[in-house]
Amino acid sequence: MTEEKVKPFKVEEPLRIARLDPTFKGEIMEEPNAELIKYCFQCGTCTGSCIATRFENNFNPRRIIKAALLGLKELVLSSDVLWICTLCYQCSERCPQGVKISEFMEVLRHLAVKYGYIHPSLRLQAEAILRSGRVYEDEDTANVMREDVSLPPALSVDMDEVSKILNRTGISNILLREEGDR
Amino acid sequence: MMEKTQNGVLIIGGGIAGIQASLDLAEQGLKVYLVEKSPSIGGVMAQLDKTFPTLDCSACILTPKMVEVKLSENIELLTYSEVEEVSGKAGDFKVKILKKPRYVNEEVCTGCDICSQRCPIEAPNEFDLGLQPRKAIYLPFPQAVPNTYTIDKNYCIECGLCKGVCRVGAIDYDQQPTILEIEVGSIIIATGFEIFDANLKEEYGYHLDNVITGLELERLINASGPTGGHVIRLSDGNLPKRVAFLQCVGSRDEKVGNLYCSRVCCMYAIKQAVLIKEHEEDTDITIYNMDIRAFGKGFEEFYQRAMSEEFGTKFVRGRVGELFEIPETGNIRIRAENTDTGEFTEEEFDLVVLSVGLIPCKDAKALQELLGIQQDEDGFFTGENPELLSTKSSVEGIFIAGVVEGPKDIPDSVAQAGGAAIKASVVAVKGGET
Ligand SMILES: Cc1cc2nc3c(=O)[nH]c(=O)nc-3n(C[C@H](O)[C@H](O)[C@H](O)COP(=O)(O)OP(=O)(O)OC[C@H]3O[C@@H](n4cnc5c(N)ncnc54)[C@H](O)[C@@H]3O)c2cc1C
Repeated sequence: MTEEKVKPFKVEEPLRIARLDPTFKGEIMEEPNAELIKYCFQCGTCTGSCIATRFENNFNPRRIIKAALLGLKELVLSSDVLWICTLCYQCSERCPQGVKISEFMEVLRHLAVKYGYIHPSLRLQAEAILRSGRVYEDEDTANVMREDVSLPPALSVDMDEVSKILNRTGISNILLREEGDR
Repeated sequence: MMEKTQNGVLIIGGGIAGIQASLDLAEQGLKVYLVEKSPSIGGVMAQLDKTFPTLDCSACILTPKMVEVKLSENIELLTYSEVEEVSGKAGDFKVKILKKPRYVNEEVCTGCDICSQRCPIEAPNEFDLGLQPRKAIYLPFPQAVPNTYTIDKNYCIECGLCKGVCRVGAIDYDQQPTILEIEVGSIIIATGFEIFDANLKEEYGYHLDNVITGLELERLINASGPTGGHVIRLSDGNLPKRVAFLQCVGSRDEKVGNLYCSRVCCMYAIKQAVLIKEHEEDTDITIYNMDIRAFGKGFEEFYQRAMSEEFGTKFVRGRVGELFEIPETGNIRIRAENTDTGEFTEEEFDLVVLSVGLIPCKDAKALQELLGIQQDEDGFFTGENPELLSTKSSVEGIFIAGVVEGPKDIPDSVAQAGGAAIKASVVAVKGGET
């Protein structure tokens, strides 16, 4: 892991109401399981239960829900912290209001990608898959390691098939679009 | 209109609500049958140390009322008894009551305690929540009414020692259950509540020695309780220097199916924090809460006082995520977010108190079937118009009072009991609707 600090995730006060997007919450709640966030009463059980928070204090699920409900679309979707959640479901398990927080975090990730916000580390991985069909591209080193444990060499990747799948998911377009933007 | 012979009133449950309703009706000159399933009346209030927000001694308020019940000529007190069958209708209920055998003759037992001193068998003491033992022949607590001993046949080995020492020949191992049939005009249900089973919130570690419930704390801090009023850690008997309270354990929690607020836990936790401070001044106390509901008369002032320099209780707005024990010390570490600052916190405490909520009494379902009255979605009893007539059940002539109708504190239980008594007396005197 890099030593880079995660940017603090904070709702700045005073809130500028004109910058809030009232439709954002609706957009989230259209996704399966995410409609329950409207029941959040900000008790902090999720954050208190969170393993990721223990290591990265800037990851605070309660705050992310609050910001999303307020309509701080850009702050939420562009934030690095979205990608810190380990999806362990502890918060969903304990939330007294039955909010499915892990599921909600996944929805936010989908929306972030949809709007072109992908964490740089994940973009590198996606690009690698797009290029070679593998996350770990150094085939020779991999094969040496496989040989050590008596595994046959890795099968070659059928890039036509991989491309087909990736096109279906839409990820190729998103990555290309991003490149164009830059 | 034809003159009807006046019928009495049956009251089921002898907690503070049932006691108050009985006294109010007896004072009006009505015949009252008070049925209590345990060996003594008193209910949960008898187990409490002090009451919020005035810090009055609970037993000092309750005990005279209990004695008054016993002395009243109009009240027939049926303890260790249960209602078996109810038929008829408002104005004319026929009721069968089962008197369970105490194996001690109530008429002659003087409550001298010699039997219990001789009894060689120990059993968990329900009144002290198992924090100390009692004998197999026992009085639930010193102020019990009636002052009659009971043999617990689950533990008694019939060694005959108690029988041998009893000077009035009250012990009767062969006592049989008896059925009493009565007719009453109306019925009041005041069967109270249970506390939420803290084991259901696994992440709050109730299985650990130094995690206790608020009701256990009431016993520990009571001068006549198992530790003579010392709040100790169950792991090593030491006095805790850092105590945490966790609010809303089993209340306002979809995960355990209780969406409602239990109404008393905020105030009892604050009360207990103040009491601990009064006992041991140098204790640090933190109350983890979602918000403090101090809605009653004098409650807000009490809350402010607890926060003030005088008592210095710390309030953290944040529902606890989880806690765990440090095996070497038995101390407890609590993980929570302080939502005021957004900080994730992990703090160490010597003792943790779970402010457990109130849930419907064990017999709610059975009573519902017996009497045909309606329960709300949480299992408390309710009538058609709870917003206007909280004392009225869904069955004509049957009324409800106290926590059996919904979580509430002692003053509210007493007020509701007074209301139920008036309603019940009208039906008993005038008869039901024809
Ligand atoms: C830890 C704790 C602290 C509290 N502190 C305070 C405080 O400081 N101040 C305050 O105002 N309130 C306090 N309360 C709330 C208070 O205990 C209740 O408001 C009060 O006890 C309600 O009385 P009740 O008569 O409705 O019920 P209960 O006290 O539960 O009495 C019900 C009675 O009915 C009997 N019964 C049950 N089922 C049957 C049956 N089938 N047949 C016959 N009898 C039956 C029971 O044995 C019991 O004796 C506290 C509660 C808790 C848990």
